[in-house]
Amino acid sequence: MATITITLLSGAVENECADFTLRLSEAALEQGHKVNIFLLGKASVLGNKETPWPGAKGMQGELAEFMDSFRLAGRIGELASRGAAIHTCHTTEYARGAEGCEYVEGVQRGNVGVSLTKFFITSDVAFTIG
Amino acid sequence: MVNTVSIIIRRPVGDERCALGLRTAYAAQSGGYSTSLVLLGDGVYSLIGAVNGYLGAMMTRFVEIEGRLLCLKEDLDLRGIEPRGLTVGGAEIVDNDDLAEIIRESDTVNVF
Repeated sequence: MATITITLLSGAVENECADFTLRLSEAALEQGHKVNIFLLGKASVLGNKETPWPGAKGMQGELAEFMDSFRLAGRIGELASRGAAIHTCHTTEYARGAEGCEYVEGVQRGNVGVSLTKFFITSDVAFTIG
Repeated sequence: MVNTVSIIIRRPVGDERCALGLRTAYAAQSGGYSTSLVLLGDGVYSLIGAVNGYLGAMMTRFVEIEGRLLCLKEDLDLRGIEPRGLTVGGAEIVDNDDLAEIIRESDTVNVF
């Protein structure tokens, strides 16, 4: 079984790269592989817990359902609970004013110089998506 | 285990992807991985003019710690950039065949 390291660069909504990364990771774990995910740049805030608006959604059903499809915190938490190592880049969180936000359970604060280079040590394959 | 790293940057200074690629290349090289930083497409614009501040310093430091900084000749030609117009020291100019060999020899290729 292999260890796979994915550096994700895209956010949740701009394209399908984040969704693809999670589906690929889910499939890899299912097959018994080990998965490391490094959330960098726009992807860095995917490791944060959601902060829902407490009032009415202000969207009709179809639009709300469409937008809900981009909310990935639950799937990221599920991946972490299944053993995926998920680290963020805290400097790109800092640049977005999100460094102090609470993480999804299992997600860890990290950086390029430590998290990603440590992931490389044990990786059989490593690549970017985004 | 990964030993050799290729970082490919296709965006110029001013795009976050350029900064992320530079930081990743520097981190990999300083972390002990043999790292090639390849500027492709509009990424070659980062090698002309004044790249001041943090990003310029990162490129300089990457070369100083013996990282391999490369750019693709075809992409310089397409943009009318003469090799003598490069203002970042230590950049090697390679062709498509050279680049294919660098990628073949890399344990991991990361595109920004």
